[in-house]
Amino acid sequence: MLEIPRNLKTIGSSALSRVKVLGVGNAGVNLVDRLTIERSCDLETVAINTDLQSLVSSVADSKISIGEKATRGLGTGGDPEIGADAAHESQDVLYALLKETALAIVCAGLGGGTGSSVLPVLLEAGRAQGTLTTAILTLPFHFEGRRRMRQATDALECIRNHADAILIFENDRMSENVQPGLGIGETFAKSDLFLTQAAIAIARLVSGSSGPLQLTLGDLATVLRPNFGTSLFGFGQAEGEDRAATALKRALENPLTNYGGLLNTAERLLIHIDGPSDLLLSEVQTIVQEISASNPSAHLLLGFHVNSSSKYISPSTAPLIVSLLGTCPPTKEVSLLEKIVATEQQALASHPSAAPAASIPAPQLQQVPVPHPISAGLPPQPEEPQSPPAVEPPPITPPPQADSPPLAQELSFTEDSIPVIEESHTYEPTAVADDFTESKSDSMDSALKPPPKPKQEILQFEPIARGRFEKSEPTIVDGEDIDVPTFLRMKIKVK
Amino acid sequence: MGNNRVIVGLEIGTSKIYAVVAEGRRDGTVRLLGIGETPSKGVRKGEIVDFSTTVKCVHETLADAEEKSDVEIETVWAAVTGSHIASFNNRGSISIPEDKTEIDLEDLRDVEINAKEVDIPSQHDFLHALIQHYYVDGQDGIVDPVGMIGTRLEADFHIIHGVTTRLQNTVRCIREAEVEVEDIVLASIASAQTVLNIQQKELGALVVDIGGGVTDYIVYSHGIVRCSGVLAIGGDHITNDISMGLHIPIQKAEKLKIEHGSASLNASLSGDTIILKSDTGFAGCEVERRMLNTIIYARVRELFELLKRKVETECSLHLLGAGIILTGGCSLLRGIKTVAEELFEIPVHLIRSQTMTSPASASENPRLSTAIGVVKYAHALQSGLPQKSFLEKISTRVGIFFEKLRSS
Repeated sequence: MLEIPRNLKTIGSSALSRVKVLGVGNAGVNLVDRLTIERSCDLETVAINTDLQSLVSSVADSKISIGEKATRGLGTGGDPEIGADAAHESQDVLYALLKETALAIVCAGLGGGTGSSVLPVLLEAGRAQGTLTTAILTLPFHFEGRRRMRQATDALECIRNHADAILIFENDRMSENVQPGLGIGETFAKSDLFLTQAAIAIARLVSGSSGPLQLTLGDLATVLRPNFGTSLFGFGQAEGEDRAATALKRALENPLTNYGGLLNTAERLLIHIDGPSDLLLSEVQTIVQEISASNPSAHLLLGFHVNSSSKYISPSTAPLIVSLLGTCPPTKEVSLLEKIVATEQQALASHPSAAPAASIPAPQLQQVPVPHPISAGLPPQPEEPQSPPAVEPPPITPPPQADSPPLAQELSFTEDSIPVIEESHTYEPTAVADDFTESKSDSMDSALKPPPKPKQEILQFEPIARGRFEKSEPTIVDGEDIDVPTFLRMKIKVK
Repeated sequence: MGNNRVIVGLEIGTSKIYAVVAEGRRDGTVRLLGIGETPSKGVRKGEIVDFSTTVKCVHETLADAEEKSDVEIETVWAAVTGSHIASFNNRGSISIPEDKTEIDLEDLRDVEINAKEVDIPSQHDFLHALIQHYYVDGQDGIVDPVGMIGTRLEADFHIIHGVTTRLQNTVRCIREAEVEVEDIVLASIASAQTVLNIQQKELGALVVDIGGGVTDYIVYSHGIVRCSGVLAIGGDHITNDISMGLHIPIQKAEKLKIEHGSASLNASLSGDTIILKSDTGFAGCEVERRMLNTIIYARVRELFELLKRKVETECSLHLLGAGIILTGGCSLLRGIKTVAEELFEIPVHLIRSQTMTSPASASENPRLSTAIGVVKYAHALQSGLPQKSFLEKISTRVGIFFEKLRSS
């Protein structure tokens, strides 16, 4: 459970300097640069990198080079191990950065060397000193290769435990929003734009909302709880007539809200409206009503900010900006992999003794093609025959017993059921092939196998568990009747 | 029509029965004359469960093929499959008696018999013994030891065996349809003949034929068969999963799978639904695409995982230069290539078969890989026979003139 009262420093009016936006690694520094150029609110920006060249050309307010010994100023070359060395080397510097900072918005692109390894250290530093940390992260494009994606998802797991709030953006999803004919520079630029807007939105949310409705850090933290599911972020801007409705519409057109789809399932939603000084109550009302119409049960947190900067000729031409931030719980939106992993985690949680030390890649976002989790669900050893006469599982592995929470039920993704992952070494798919011999204490399979009893429940519920294969001889592979649908055996909730 | 042999290949599959009529040309290629097909009704998971129905279907298929190719079918070569089929590699070794001057065919047969001296289950019988390597007095790399001198002849074989009665059932079924069976061949071997060219066999490739009832697989490397097998999971399982998961009848599930299904999870946005119209005995319903794809993905993924496990015990996938070739009806499933690539982490290709000088559509049809492969296998076997007809012998010696004469 998230513990918010951690001696958080309060944000006062002069506390804008207590909000820092830190970009780590090349992607992070890019983002921070963009923020610095475009900023409409006074945020202190910090660029942190191992690559000296990127720092030199950065326009951030302050620039910190780390890991000079480890990288000799040349960057990590995408190697997270070097990044880890760099982080270790410059730990003190990172700690000092977050001293007296109330809110740290940390941005990084995961998958490479610096961002992925340095971020956890930075977040830990923040936590230790009472800073509220929000991480804005990107996951690499699919085409960047499997290795990068794997590094990214490993780093993500680590970060989930350290940050107070996380916004995750998958580059793939963001590029959906871009017209196909657009050049690659522009595609990347557009993704950067989303991230910038998110960062600004978060910063704006808590720094000096000068209206009757203010959002606190606590609100932010609650909405963006790190272990919770898919991030939703929408940003829309409009001016002139009907700007409220148009801005909201644009915000919902963002692929990161699944074109509005995610809105319906969000549990908590943070709505921030940044408007000119002639912002009307009715406009605010329109927006909020529209949102609560599509999602009546969501917990809405509203904040708004009157933009009085001199950037605009007259206040009425200032655009109305609607930002939506939220998280959607992992229901059926959740990808197959997440479900399977979540089931395993539940099983693990109910049997900590059976829990092996090796980590399970915790729920990934949709569309991250990490192959590992399903293998874990598949019983690799010949044990625990699943066929109707439920046989007592052999003592090789301690399976989750019958009194464990019936896994056939809906996955309840409470924080309690998520075990803390001790080591985060990647699950090697090749371990599956080795499983012809004894069970491995460090292979995640056995404890995660569905216990026989819930299977019995399913059989009673649906007597024809084999459909058209009713009459044919069952095909038993590794003790499992594979004529029974895979999704049933893996307890994947369908509908 | 010349003296080119007409070869008929028959495949009794779980979803369809195919009869391929072709003529074998001298250059080793085959020319398709016609293909007969009928839906298969008495077969489950690659094995005949309803004998009489299958006989009828075979009869229909052969009649269809005869009509299309204008050839009377008297004998066929048949493809067999089934999860009962197992295989292993074994080495046979014999010593050549000192008085013998050279190694001859009989020695090759003896060494094969020696290699087969392994305990196989009593109900099993040998189906194939595919030569892998010969060694003469310890020297390896021997391609053809006939004519060589040596004291010891060893040979590695890939030996395939299956339940005798089940193999016989297939043959009996075809005989009941009033044609003779010349020989039987394992379906995966047949598919490989269609799908792989010589370079691919050399480089190393895994051919995965995902049919309606079973998935046949075979690994070639350095031109020889390294391992093979049959997994009793096929398109029917996917359809069944869909039917049970979405609570729709099997036929609708099959249609849904073909028209809309995708093994790729990325393909759909949430909230995207497919509407199935109501029909007799079926009230229409709305199906969420994501659910459909999830069910398909789970099954396909499991199939590949089981396959990977089985193959990796025998040979390392990374040594396969030509990667994986997917064929069979299920290879037409959208997104299946992605799932395979995700899991196997080596290049995966879908079927475009080669060396068929015939209507392109047939040869590019992955469903036909096995049936066409039977014909190619048969032709290769027959033209490899040492005995040539008297006339053929003359023609090769004398030349083109006689050949023209014969083929007129």
